[in-house]
Amino acid sequence: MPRAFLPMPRGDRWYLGALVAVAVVAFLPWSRATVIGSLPVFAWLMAALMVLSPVVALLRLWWSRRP
Amino acid sequence: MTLEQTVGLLYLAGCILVGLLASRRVGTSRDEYWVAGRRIGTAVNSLAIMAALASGGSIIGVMGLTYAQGIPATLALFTGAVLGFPLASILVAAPLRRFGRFTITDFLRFRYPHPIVARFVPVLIVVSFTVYIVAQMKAAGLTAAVLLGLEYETALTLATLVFILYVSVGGMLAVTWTDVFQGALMLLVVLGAAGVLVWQAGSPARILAEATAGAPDLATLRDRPLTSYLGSFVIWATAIPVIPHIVMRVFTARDAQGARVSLNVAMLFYSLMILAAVFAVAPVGRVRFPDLADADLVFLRVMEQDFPPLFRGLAVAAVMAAVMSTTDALLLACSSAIAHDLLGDTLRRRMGPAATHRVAIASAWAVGLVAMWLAYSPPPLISQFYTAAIGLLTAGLFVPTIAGLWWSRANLAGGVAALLTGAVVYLAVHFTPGAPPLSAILAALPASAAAMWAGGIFGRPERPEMLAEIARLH
Repeated sequence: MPRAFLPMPRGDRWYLGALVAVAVVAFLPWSRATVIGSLPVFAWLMAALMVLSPVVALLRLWWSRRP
Repeated sequence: MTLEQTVGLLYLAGCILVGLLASRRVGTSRDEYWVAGRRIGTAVNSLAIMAALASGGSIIGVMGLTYAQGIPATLALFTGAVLGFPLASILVAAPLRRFGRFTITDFLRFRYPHPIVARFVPVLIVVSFTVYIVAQMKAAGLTAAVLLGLEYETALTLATLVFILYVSVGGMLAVTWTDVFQGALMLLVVLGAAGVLVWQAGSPARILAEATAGAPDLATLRDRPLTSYLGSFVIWATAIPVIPHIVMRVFTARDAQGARVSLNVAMLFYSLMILAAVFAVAPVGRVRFPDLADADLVFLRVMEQDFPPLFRGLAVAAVMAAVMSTTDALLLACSSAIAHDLLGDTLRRRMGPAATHRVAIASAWAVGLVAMWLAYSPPPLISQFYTAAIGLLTAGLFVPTIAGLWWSRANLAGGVAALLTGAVVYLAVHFTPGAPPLSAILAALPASAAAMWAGGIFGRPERPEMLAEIARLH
């Protein structure tokens, strides 16, 4: 009996899970109602995701290629 | 002739020259025409991927959307696109690169060998990408009309003929060479314009504070229900892993690791450009031009008022670059959908590679000219318009592709059912009166996943040879 899902590296699973978690938190009601520096937290979380997700992904790729 | 017009025309002439040079290397080779010989390096591919995604919508459209619907709504849409890159990098980049064919349809009809898949997927691609191209053409026409003083229709026709010419003769190699230059130009102009505006204001925080004080609605989520914002986010997050013009770029990478790195570097470039547009250029434009009839004009008005002729000329070239770098990739994807996916087997069997090549060129012209004709009556708010079209494509392709690569129980029945259910539910919800804009994807993707699950559980299990082949791709 084959496994239901093909195996994914643990780091990839955590990374995807973290991205989804931040996105879910960003869409919760409080983040749209709370304002910091003229903008709702929702907007800051979206902006943070835009910058941090590629940076973390590249760091992970760089780390995985280290001898 | 003004300096802006000279820069704009030099840019268009350069694109044609690149297409002609590329055509000499491409010949009639399928590998060269569709995937540039699979030898594109990581740095070049990163800029090319960024340029392929960063369309007229990512310069003209992102600022128009910020102007009309505020910063949070715009970030919801464009952050979805950025998150799509890690999804693509992890879920599809390596296995599809190892699969080593030309298009997303190649993979789907290999995984789900059925005539419905072989015919429906290319049709879905051509329909949704034609809509996408129309939106890009509006951006090109508006830019040339405002900054070069040409008639909208004249500018549209000129730009369209140029990019159809270089795509049709030069294939992926011409698209890659032009995309690298176009990507660099876009970054230079948008980051440069934002830098000048921040320098004039003193700091980005001051721009934001002044803009939200003068136009408080810039900082709020409004007008539309939450499902609409969530829908735009989900459409782009799930589109990037399966959208054909990005997937074709994965196939051009030298190897699987190169494909993953390229996707993430492209995402970083793209993020910087979007954030500069949303946090600097659009807020300044909103304060200075509060009563624009067409919000998509805001970037052009800021350029017109604040920048000298040379920079305005570069801005024209940058918007043209954004439009062309996406439209050329879209045209190539449409051309491949017709000449390779839909008719390829028949053409190669009966007429040989030269005839297939001619059909590819004719397909690019046909799709481009139809889109140009439609763009003579342009839609409002281009970002929202083409996002709806991409939603249709994603609704059909996302679940069959991801499940086909990762779920062992994915089978023919599930794949066909997921493809059709996703597209049909999307269209049904999208055209339901009163449905929030862009929210249809929130119903279509679960429906597609449910259809895949039902097919996988109740249909005939997949052949062990197919499962072994999929495991080999990982």
